[in-house]
Amino acid sequence: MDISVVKLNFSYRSFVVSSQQALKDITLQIPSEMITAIVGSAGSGKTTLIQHFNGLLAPDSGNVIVNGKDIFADKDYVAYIRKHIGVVFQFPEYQFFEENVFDEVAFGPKNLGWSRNEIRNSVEKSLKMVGLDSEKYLRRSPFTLSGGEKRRVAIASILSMEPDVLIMDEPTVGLDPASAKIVENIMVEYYNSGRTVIFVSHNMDLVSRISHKIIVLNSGKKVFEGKKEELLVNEILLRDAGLCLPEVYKFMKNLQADGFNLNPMVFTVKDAKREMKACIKRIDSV
Amino acid sequence: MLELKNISFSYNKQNQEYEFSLKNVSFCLNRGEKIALMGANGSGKSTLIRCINGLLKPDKGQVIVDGVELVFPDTVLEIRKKVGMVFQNPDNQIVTTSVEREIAFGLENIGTGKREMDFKVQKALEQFHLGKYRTRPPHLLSGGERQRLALASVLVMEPDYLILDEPTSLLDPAGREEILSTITAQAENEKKGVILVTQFPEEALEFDRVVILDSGEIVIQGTPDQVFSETDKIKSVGLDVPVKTELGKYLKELISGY
Repeated sequence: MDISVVKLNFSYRSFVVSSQQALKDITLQIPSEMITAIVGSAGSGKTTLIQHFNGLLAPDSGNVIVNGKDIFADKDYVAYIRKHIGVVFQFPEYQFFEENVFDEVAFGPKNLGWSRNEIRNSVEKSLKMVGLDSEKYLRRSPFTLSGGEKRRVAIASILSMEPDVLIMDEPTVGLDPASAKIVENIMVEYYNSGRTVIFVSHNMDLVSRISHKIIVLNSGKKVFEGKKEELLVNEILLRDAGLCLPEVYKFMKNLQADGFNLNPMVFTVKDAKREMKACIKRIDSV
Repeated sequence: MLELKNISFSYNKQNQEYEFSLKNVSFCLNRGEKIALMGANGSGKSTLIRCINGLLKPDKGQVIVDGVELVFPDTVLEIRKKVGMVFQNPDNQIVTTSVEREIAFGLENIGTGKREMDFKVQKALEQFHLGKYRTRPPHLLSGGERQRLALASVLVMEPDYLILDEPTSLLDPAGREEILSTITAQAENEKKGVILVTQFPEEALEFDRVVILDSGEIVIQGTPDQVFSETDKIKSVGLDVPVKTELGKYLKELISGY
């Protein structure tokens, strides 16, 4: 599913405050079957933007186009879009309301009118995708789980609807490194299964590790759309948008500045170690 | 000084062979000192900080703040005035309908006079860049802005000790740095004691001490340099060391090998 946004404007309205424009004239493309990251400072419009992708918010002007058709073209189409574009919100575990994990994860498929068998299969499949043993977890109350487990159940409850596009808002916030790694792998696996993944994050190491495309927002405007290699060399743009360099890249860049002959464009600790080793070997063989 | 002496706590008290979420946790926090509290999800961090300001009652052990022991219910209010707490999810503590009222809420409750209150609220609005949102309902702020609001409404009460549960998780790097420097200024200039729960080892590097919990027990504590030099131990409890520490150590090993 290709998503494109054309000249989108949006303001929040409220009885008590004058409206403020949250998104200004945004045009962008989210290619299908890729991982796209949306980054930017707090209040830059990231969450507002992704809520347009499945029609939770409607633009004041401009269009959100999915597979060539405006999502608000007719009522049936927006319903169709909501079935196929799943959104995992910030701190999704705060929205739990069912008594056990099975009902929580089955809630979406039930509402889609699936058969009992289909529901059961999708629940088991999605729990497996998030690395939870369904035997062990199905009957437990979601409220008794640890933070990392809760987040994974919350993600499973969206995956169970098998959306074509998975959108996650700050999916690793509040998780320890092990749980964050699991959530990272869920996104990569979902992409590997031929689906589209969009996520919002402030963690530039995560963003640079897994995304194919990055969109940067600053005060409601799109200021960058492209590859990480282009973004990371544009330090002024990064600074203005309240962002920083990924830790791995920053370390490697400092080494390069210190005279080490290496390629700083690496994004995982493993690749950084390999690059450093190769560099030291080159020095040794001279 | 804030002292924790042999704190033990269990959520499941009915069960005979219950498991403790905290086992014999002891440490001290001096005024002006900053401690980073780290641990995997479920290691007991949030339980521990809830014991400190009396949101939970420890089964064993003592919490002593500036010589006053936490006793239910006699000294709970006194201790809560001294120990301010910011929760992980700002939505769990925001209760009013506008940014300004949210900051004023605590002051109103302790009977602060109008002029003093207005002055303090104004100062907090400016300090946390919330001035332009003065009358806005908090749910129309972004996640990061709500985190700044939660912090502002606790700091305005001028507690002697600050306990912060991942207060910057929804902020961008620049915003996070700013909050951290606000916290550092609170510790250094106002001589407040700070406990910060964080998942970012990079943040912990800037602190005086790092305390690491695993399964309810303190497994490592010391200065950031001491703690993060034990890479294997840190990883065995499900945490990461700062990227620059890990890569720096690897580089040293590489160079010394040649």
